[in-house]
Amino acid sequence: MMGAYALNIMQGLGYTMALFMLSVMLGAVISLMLLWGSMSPHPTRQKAAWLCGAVIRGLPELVLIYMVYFGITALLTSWYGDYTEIHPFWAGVLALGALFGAYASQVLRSGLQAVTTGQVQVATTLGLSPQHIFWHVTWPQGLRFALPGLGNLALITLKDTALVSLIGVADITYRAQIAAIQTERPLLCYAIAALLYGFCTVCLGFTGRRLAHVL
Amino acid sequence: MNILSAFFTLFLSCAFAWGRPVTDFRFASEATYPPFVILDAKGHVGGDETDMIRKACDQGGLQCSFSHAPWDTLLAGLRMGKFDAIYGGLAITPERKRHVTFSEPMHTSNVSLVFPCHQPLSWHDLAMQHVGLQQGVTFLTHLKAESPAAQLHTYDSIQQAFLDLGYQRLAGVVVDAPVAQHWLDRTSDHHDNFCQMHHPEITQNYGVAFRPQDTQRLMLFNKAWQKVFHQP
Repeated sequence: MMGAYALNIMQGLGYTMALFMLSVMLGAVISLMLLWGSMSPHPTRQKAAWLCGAVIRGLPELVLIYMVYFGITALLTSWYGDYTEIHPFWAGVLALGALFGAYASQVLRSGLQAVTTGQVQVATTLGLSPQHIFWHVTWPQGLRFALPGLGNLALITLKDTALVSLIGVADITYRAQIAAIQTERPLLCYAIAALLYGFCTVCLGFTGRRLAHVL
Repeated sequence: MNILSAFFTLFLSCAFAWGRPVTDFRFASEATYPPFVILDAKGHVGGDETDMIRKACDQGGLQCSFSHAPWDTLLAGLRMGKFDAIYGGLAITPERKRHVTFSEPMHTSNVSLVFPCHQPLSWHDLAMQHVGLQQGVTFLTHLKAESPAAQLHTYDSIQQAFLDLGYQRLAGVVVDAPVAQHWLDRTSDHHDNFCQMHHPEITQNYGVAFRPQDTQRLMLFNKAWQKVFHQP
């Protein structure tokens, strides 16, 4: 019986990885939007980007997940007049993506600020346009500075996927909980889950190092 | 437009809930309460009550699906329309009847106190003892009134309470008698030193709960149930 449950826990790896990758992809889009807003010359955009980032960063991960899942479900139900829920998987993607995006925008901003002003001044003296300076001087170097921080954020997001098990996404943690209850072998079941998460983090760390090498 | 509708169908899991026929039943339970309801390694809901309901569905021509949900979301899910019926060791009590409508009783059973045989407990001797129960059980109120000094701990799943009993964090577990018996039978190879004692007064009927306004489904289910289990 334990073998079947162990296999079931391993099958949760697909959900966890899908959740992680989609969250990071959504988070990348959100972080660029917030970065664009915070670097915009318009005070309204700046304030809106700051407010969005500050609110999301100020909320505990679990509260945000519950807000997205139960909040959107309540809104949809009142809108359609019949019970309509956002799928727990997509609620998880939205919440984790928003969290990744809010933090990543700050990491990217600090990376861009780490590029010395002297280089921008030289580029300006050479007659490059502001867009040209950003895309060919500031952005490549800023991204390189931000990469270690982004890698850490990705690791945190991977581990935060476990929280989504609380709204019923059948990821590694959810399946390990069920297996621990049914088999009465919690140590073994959670050890399998820990090994899978460990495998994922090692792979992610390796990918991060390769990416840093390429950039 | 097609892409937009495909996106919404994917995004909203209950788009198919609209305009469903009345013979379509979505049952839900907290499926870690064997032998009433169990969740197998593939995530399928089974157990004695599930089998009985499935049999009634087959005989009554009802399309029934079964899902697992945490105990504290079951009633809210039923009210909001996520599920059509909830079950799984669900005792029929006057308190619950104020919020839901019950089917005909499926079966009757006692409540048991499980404890290590070498440290005997009795129902009148629970003061200052750490006792575990499943969250949301109706005999919690009864137990609080009967033994106000007992240290009661509620668990999301009764199996977690049994784990704590095995680790001696608890002096006893109060649970429906069939669940206690199932645990004692299943774990007799390594938990052979546990005993159980039935409560002298508490006897409960168990049923399937429906939304009060969903009288059509209740009627259809009771009809199917009678067809299978009450035939002479």
